[in-house]
Amino acid sequence: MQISKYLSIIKVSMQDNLEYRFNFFTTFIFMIAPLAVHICLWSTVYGVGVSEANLSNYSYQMMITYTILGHCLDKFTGDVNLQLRVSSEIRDGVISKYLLLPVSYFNTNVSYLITNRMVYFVTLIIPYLLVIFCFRSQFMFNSDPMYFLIFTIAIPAAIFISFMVNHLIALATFWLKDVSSLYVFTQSTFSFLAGGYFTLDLLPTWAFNLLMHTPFPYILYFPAAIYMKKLDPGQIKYYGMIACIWIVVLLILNSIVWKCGVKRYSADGM
Amino acid sequence: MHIQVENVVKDYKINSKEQGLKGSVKGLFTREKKIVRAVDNISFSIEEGECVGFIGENGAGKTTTIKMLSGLIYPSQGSIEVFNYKPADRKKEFKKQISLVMGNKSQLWWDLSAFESFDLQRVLYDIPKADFKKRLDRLAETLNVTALIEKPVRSLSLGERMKMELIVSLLYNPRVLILDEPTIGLDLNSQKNIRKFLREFNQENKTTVIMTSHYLEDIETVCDRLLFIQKGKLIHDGTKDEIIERFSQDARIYVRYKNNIAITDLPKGVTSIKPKDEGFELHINKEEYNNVIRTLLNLGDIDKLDIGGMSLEHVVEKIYGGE
Repeated sequence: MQISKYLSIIKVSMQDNLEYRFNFFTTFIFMIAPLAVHICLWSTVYGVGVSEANLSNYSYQMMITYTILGHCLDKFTGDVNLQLRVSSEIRDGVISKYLLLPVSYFNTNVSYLITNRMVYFVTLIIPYLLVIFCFRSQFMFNSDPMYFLIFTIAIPAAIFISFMVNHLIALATFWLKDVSSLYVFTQSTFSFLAGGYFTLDLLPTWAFNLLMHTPFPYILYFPAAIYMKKLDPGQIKYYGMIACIWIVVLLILNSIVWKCGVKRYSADGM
Repeated sequence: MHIQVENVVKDYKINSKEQGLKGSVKGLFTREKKIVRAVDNISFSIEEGECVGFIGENGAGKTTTIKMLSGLIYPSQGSIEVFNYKPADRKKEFKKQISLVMGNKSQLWWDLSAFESFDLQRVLYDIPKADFKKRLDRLAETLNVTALIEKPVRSLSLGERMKMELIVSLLYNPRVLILDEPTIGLDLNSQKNIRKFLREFNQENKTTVIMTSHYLEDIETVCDRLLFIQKGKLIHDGTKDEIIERFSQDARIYVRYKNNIAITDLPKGVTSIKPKDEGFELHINKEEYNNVIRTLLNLGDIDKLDIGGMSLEHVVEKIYGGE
């Protein structure tokens, strides 16, 4: 069974990930600092008396909820190392090893992603629960089971969309040799477009509508907005369909770019 | 035919830029595209169970050829068939029958024990558990690494790691084993063990072995047939003796005299002479063979006289030197 092969890859890479226990602690420390800055920033904005009407009807409580949730989703849905790893594997000829294996490189990377996200989940869930506990009076708890269910479905979709966008950019290494400069640009731009810096509801309507037809909001804003019940069922259905279309488009693009890329591959470093 | 390579050409497109800082700045805006022919119209075939070695200088096209044989890269022209598969199609069934060991690229998980990598290989290649255990025990025992397979790969020495690389590559019983510089960086003893193992493995399992190495001893010990590649062209395909016969006009004579007689005047036909083990080693032109032997016999009482062909190393050095 093909699936058992990928499960074995997940098992081995999980063991490999657990070798780096120190990472767990550093991840926690580095995660908290920017979140604290964001919370302080919004507290100051609301503290000086900016009206909610000027902030797309976001109350202080909603903004803090979005900030914590957005931060958590940003860390959880995006594999920051993926682009650099895949890019260096292509450049340094490490993918030769995968080209020789009777499994696909894309699926192997999906297996690594699953492992990586599981480790991240275990690592981050307690610190984020602690943060939510500390801000429990400002954090909105969702008690609607239907919305919560859709929220939990939107998260794996967000992880997969983020993975495929980053994977696609990394595949550009077949042509550009080095995408490290793209990395810095894409990470900050994608975070902005996904709603990682502030909620996309603060954008003008035309910009919001335009952005919702790109894959980026589905990485962060969409699941957060579902949790916060900012979208009605009709909007969830419509945007959910766009997310599904993007998943298919990104899958096809990854497949085409990979096929063209390996034809150019020269297995350097061997 | 097991492996059939016909009129294969491989061109690489490379960006060339002028040297120095000025060239680097200029290269940011315009780059000249250059086509470099790495493999130039080579053809050969290999039968099942053969042991074939590629020799040639750096950049001669050896590694490019084995990259094409294993399906890592596409040929620009010509056709390659490995047991009726086109390697570049990278079909799963093809991959399960071929193995590539790269001296400078690891297939093992660095932070885990070698056993974890072996076990993953078992699942990926659908190796039945009983076969896996039998093969692993046998390979580990032959390579003398049974006690090391539970140790993290990162803590193994280079030689031990190469043995693990061989195990991971052979666990699924490939029909073709391709090795690129398998003894690179290893100490003499490890080199010897790996050569011995490869030779025995080929003989016992009839696995086709194709290898490249800069250590000619690897090729001489393991391979029966040599493919000599120079500047992308296949300049010779045959046994070691055939190469020596074809490319060397010289023969080698070792002579030692009873009374430690020194050879002061070089007989006609001697191209070089050097002292060796209280005697002399002479390289002579084969055409002057009789004349040289007669002169040496006339010089005094001979204690020892060995006559032989040139070593492969000497011949290869001469070809590299363009002589």
